[in-house]
Amino acid sequence: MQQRRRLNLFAFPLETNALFSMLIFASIMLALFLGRAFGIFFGTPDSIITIDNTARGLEVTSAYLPVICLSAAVALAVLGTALIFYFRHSSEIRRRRKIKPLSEKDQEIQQYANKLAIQAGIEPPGLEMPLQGLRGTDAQAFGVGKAQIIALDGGFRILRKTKPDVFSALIHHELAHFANGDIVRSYFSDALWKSIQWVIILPFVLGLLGNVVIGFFLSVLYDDLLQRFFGPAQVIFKLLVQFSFVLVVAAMIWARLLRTREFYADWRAVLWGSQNGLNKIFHEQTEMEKSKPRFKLLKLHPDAKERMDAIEHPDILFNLSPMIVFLAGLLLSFTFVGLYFALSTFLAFAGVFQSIRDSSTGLLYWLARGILWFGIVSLILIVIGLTGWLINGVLLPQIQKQVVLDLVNKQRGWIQYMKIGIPSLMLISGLELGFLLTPFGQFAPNDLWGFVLEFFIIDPILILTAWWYLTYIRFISLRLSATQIGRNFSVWRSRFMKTASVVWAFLFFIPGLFLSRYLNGELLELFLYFSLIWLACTLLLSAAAFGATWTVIKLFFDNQPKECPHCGKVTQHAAPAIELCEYCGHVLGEWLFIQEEAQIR
Amino acid sequence: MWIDTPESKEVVTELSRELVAEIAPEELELVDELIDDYYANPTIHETKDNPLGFGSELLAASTPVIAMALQTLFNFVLNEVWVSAQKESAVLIAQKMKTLINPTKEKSEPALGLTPEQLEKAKQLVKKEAMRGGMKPKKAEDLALKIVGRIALTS
Repeated sequence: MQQRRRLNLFAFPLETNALFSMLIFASIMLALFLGRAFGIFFGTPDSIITIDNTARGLEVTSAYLPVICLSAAVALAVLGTALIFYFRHSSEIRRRRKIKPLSEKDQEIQQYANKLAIQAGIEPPGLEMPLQGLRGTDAQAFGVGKAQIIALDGGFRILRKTKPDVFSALIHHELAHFANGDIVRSYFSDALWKSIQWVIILPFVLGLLGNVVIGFFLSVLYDDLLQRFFGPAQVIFKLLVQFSFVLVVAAMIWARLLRTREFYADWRAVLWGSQNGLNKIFHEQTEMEKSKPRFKLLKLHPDAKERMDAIEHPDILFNLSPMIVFLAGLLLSFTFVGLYFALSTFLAFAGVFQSIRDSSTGLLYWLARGILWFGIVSLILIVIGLTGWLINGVLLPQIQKQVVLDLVNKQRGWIQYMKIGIPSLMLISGLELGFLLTPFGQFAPNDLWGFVLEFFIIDPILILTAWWYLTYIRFISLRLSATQIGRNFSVWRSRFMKTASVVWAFLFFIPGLFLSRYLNGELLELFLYFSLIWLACTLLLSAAAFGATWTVIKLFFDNQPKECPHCGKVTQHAAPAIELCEYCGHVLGEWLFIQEEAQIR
Repeated sequence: MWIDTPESKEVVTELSRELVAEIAPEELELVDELIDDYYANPTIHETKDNPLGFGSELLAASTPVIAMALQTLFNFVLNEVWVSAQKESAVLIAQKMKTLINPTKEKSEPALGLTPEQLEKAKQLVKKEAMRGGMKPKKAEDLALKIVGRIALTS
């Protein structure tokens, strides 16, 4: 056995976790959408779409209340149904695969799997197989709560005797899912997708069809209704396109999550010494695999070739994913539309509380006033929280991983900063597409002038500000990662990075994005002034913020003693995280690398 | 049908063992178990698109695929080459089949002759069936050549 260094994928937040949260977000968006869509189907189109948000009182509340209740009910139903599907997944797998706990004659398999689990440092799993049969080589890790179960096909009885390295690789891969902690997220995501199909897609399609059929039937019977039918028909077509769009986004996130978890599990199985076994499987599969025409973004499993490439060149897992950045842009636009939704909801109820406040004194007055302020603050915090999470939970890890990869590959200089232009473009493309296609979105341009302004003036400025933001977080990540030595990445460095990232985004990126949504109509002049002021401030202050960040890093992080954690001597390397100690030869940045047991055959 | 008789199973098992020794020797000790499993459920194992499974299945054992390919070959021989065999006894057919594919065995019966076209067709049939059973194209080709080569030697 020999040992070699491998970049530690788990030194960074897991992509599967970010994708899981993104899927929940998209599902809630779909639920809100369905609530509003049903409002239209059931005859409240005008009151919902054209309602004057400045109006107050019970009239507004009564117009909004059914839609709000329906949206909330659908959101709860989606999550509740998903929970039921999730808790049922174990029995469903047992039923479908016809598996049972291993009988006496298969105990050797259990013992072998236990041995592999103990060697890997995890709790031995329960194994289940069909009682008879020697076919099939699929394996599947599952379990609710602390239960760790692996379902095996009957062919494992043969594999253990004829291809033990392949057998170990498959068991290692499934054990890796437990070690990576992705079972709950994967199965809940799967359950969520099933729930979306039953609770959202089916009612939406039925409601839409019913609406079209009834509308068409009535318009044929009564000529005067024909004209009125064409209006809603347009709305319905728009709804269909928008609904399909959000649905495809949710499907893309779900598929990406399932693909990513496989790469992560393969990565860990290789770490446990199963590279040869996995390579054998993927090599055979590559020879057998026919090219499938399925759209790559919606593929639920990576190809054998993709998996083989990721095993042989694990560094590709550290590459920044333009698709994740694009999805982050989309979800950012959803957040903005969500803010609009939330404000409308708030206004609906605010009318009642304002009436109570204005007509009362004493405790009741202060209670009504308190509720109003609580509502406003809560909404702002929710939106800030979601935006902050998208920035620090999705974008930042992508940049961090790419930075580390560039550092290891000695790729530095301004070209790397220029390359950030691509993710900036993807982020703004996602945002723009989201604004154009998010259901009931109020932030898309609605005339030719608006589109010209959006695509030729606003978008280029937004791309530049996004690039400036990504450049900033690349700079911080690079400086803080390169000098970090020891077993763990410092908590203070991590906090500083996150704080700097979110502060910059909220000062120099998000306000511009927000202001750009109001550059039309009566408010054009006012928001144009605000936008110009913001742009000028960004140009001046961001440079100062950049300088201040550099100073803080120099003073508080670069000055820390660079002592080798093994021999205690001070290293002279400029980027010690990726170097070996010049005195004792040990790895300095242990947080960044992991020892791999490579089997020599 | 002769294919469904115990004699047929016996021939398939015997010939499979010889072919497994050449193609997948690691399965030699398990041939009987694998053949029994194959006869208990002769349908092909369908790979299901399971999004939460491992995602890449490989062939667990070659023996059932070899048995399946041999059965297909016997069907071809009985239906297209030796049509009169329908009237013969199961034991006699079994003997003929053994001599057809095993050139080294002592021949009690004159071997069946296959024309070059029939040999080519048999090769394609065996290869196709082996691939359908999940064998890699190269290995399936190898199996087909081995079987057809044996027939050619006896013809």
